[in-house]
Amino acid sequence: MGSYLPHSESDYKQLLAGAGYESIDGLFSSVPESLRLKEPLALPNGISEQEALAMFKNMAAMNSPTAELACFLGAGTYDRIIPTAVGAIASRSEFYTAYTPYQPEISQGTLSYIFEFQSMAAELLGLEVANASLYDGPSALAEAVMLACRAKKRKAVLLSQAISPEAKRTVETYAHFSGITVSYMGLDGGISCVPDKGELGEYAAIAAASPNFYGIIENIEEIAQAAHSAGALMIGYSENPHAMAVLKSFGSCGCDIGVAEMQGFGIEPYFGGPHLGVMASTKALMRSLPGRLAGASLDADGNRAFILTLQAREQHIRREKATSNICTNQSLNALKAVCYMSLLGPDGIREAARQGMAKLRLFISLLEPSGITLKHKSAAFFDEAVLELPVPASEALESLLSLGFIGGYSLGGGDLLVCATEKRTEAEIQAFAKALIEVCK
Amino acid sequence: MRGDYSKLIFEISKEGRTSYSLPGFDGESIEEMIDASLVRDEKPRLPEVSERDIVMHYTKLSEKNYGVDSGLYPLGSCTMKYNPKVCEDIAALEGFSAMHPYQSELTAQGSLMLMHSLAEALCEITGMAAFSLQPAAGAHGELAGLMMAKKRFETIGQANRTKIIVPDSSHGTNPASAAIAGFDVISIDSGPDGLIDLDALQAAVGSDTAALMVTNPNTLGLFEKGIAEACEIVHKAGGLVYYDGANLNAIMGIAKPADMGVDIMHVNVHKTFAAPHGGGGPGAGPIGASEEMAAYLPGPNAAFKEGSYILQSPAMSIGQVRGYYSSLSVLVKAYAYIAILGGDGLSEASIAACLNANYLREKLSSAYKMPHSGPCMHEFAAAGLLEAAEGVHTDDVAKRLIDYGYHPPTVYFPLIVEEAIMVEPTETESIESLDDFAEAMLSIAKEAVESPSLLKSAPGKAPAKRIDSLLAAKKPVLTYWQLKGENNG
Amino acid sequence: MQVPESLLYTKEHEWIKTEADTAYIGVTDYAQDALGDIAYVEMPEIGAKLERESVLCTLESPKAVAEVFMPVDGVVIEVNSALEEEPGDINTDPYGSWLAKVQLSEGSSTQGLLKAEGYIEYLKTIDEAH
Repeated sequence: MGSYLPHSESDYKQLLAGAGYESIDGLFSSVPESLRLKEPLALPNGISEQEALAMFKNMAAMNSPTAELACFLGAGTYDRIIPTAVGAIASRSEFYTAYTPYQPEISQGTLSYIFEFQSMAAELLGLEVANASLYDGPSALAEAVMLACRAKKRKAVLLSQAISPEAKRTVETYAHFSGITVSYMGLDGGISCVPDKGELGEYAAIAAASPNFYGIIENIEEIAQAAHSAGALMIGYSENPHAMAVLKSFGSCGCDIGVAEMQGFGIEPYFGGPHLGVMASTKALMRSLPGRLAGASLDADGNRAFILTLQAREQHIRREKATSNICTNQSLNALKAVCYMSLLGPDGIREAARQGMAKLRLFISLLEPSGITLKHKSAAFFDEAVLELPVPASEALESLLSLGFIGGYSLGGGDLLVCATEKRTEAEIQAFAKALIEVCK
Repeated sequence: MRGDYSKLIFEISKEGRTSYSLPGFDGESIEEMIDASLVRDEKPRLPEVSERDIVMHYTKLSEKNYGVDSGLYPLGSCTMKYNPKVCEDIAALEGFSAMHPYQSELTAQGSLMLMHSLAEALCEITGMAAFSLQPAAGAHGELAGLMMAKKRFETIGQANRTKIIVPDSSHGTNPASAAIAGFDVISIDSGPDGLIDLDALQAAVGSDTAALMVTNPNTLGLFEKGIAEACEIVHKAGGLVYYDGANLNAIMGIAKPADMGVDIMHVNVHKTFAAPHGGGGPGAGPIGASEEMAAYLPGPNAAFKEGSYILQSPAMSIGQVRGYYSSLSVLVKAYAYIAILGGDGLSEASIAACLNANYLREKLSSAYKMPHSGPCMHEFAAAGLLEAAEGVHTDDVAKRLIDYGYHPPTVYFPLIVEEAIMVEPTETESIESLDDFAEAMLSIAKEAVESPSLLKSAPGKAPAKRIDSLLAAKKPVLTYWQLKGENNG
Repeated sequence: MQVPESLLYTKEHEWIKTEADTAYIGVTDYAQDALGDIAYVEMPEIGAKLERESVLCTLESPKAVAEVFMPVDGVVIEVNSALEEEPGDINTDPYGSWLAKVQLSEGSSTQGLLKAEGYIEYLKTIDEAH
């Protein structure tokens, strides 16, 4: 068995004596006898490091990862290129074995990159401030909905139906238990119908995604105007924020809050988590933000230094009146995102976004002779779109899998959501188009 | 630690510099693909830096940090034990990491098997009937657990149960989670022995009680001797008991929460099961339930049906509290740790954790107030110095510890102990390490009387001197653009 | 610890100064000392109608937060916006740093509030408890 305990037999004796106990039993005298376990835990015996590696390699081999299958599936989680330096930096143990930076004097490394992350996220989403991260996009959207309800003292929100199913379900769970009513806007051709002013009741916020779940770029500006005219906040949401590097940002579209899932920024898909949520807002909402915030200050020598700030919002101080219950967040993933954004830079992120868009369009053009077309023909789309297949999408996906492709996301019937990121090669696209045409015959 | 470097990545950025390397692909330009009205006016102001400079920058920043690998990290309530390196390698296996969550279950049998096996192991360690791995952190688990309680009462027509009882020694996340789940919070005072006052609990429960939230060992590091009675009082009143598993590291193989009468609990795998904390996450907070409450767990979760692993939600599930199923990379590390230690190893870890804490507590008791009688479990709360010059406080002791090369313990928590210093050495510290730390603490106690200025001006040897938290709160500067006095957004 | 004669007090450490049917409300020297350096005041909304003992506003220090309660029934008619820039004035001059001016509600009474002498006595009992 493997062990990370340093104690020898004589250490145990010395420790017991030093602690003032004669036996281990004495040490646990405060545990009532009736609760003491009489049997050892029924778990397998411990194993060596070598055996563990073998055991887990076997388990991993039962998976067919995207490394083996060409992945044209997005739908909120993206198979993107991750620069090697991201992992190299994030595996420095000074970063990954640290706790939340409660002692700022010896946590300037963590606090500096959180400050950088807040700056980059705010810039990307086009808002004044951003927090140090939240669990993921869906739970961050739920937090934004609760923030809006607190700020507006209203208990209802209006959501776009084209927000991802993961995010909608998560918001619905949080809303149900917080007593918030969730309604949905109409959907026409994959695009949210901007509500008439007259239809808008007492909503605390309207939330819409762009690109939305179908890859379509929504008119956030118009929805934001409608929200504001009804005294509601506007929440922009994106699970594919590479789009923000090339498209108008949430802030410039008039959003009060921008929420993003940043998994595509240097973080492995990892079967759904841990990913990286973030919330940005106008300065007016800064003190209502959930989660950690790093701020700049000075140390006793007058040098610039960073520290967790506006903590009076948080659970450890305000308890039941806190803006959120979040404590541990996704710090190390924020570091990965910061490294990713620095390594790619503004031009690299835009190029990655452009390539995905162009590759998807190449793919669609290759399908033309077969008659497989886009479902939402007039909509502007990013690097993901819905195809109309002549066969059930779920069946097509099964056939594609046997040919070595993760072919997309079935929306029911013949509707297939496909995505091309910068990682897909021209050869993969050609082969995928050929395979899809074949399975649709 | 070295600390002379203090730049931000933006400050080493130079226009036109780059380090990205993407395969070439001609294709269309953005303007050719979408309408100009949708396009961003200016490119985002992200850093433009070479790879060499980026790696240098973050290496230098890392040198301003203190991690478990740097030394003893006795942060009470946080279980900062050594994080085995092999677990990192295991979690990095591409077979796990490069998996899309919407891949067909048939192609994800390894991930699903791992999730299922870990949930079973957690059931054995805690005695609970079922676990969902969905929550992303301990506080997230609490929230999910309280939602389960609420859903149950809605289901059985007792939606009038709106009150959550929380001891005054609890983690701040407890009342905050209760409020978000739509409950009212009632705080009850602990008894003079630091334990739940059963009379106060009896007086607080009633027909409106939804649940009691209890941490055991509690945040003072004491085992709640009356836990079974407390559960009985709450159950008799028709309420449920939620168990905050933050301190599970003390009782593996010693006692099981389910035997105490607990209905719902969470586990912090980034504490108990050695997954590193990552400077504030990602963690994972699996949520466990009794037989009766299992149907309300969040989902989907991994299940084993007819020879293969599938994803499935419980019948009365509260639904999803996040995207997808779990924070799997963290859970892989936890399961690897459990597999390597085995049942015996886990018990041994808890025994050693408690032994180390009691040894250290005894050593420090000559200079620090110990408000409660021993034995403690895996951690203990001291109530500041026994003797100190005027104006010397716990915060000063903590900052001075930095000069001795240590990360300070948790301070000023729990709130019910004045000048609290909460120390959790964990089981991975050797006797020499504990002795050295004790020597530093005792030496600081002496300084607190003889040369208090050393404490008041500490730290002197850290990458930063004491940082002005008032300035940061008064004039919040949260982005580089605000720092430069520029606007964004 | 200053406790001016001319004011009325609550056991929650608010002071109130009434002038006809309006009143200024602030926190006492004891309160500011207990909270420490005040970094931010979350001001009430003007026009808010508040009952006695409901929350008027909150004060934040870097590591703590305190709620200020209404000593009387009334409507907020003015807030001390100077404190938004300089919240630390509450620490240096707690009795000069009123937080809100309220219009007393009809029938609102100052009954039950402490006079300076009574408040000083009350502070002594807190000290003894520690």
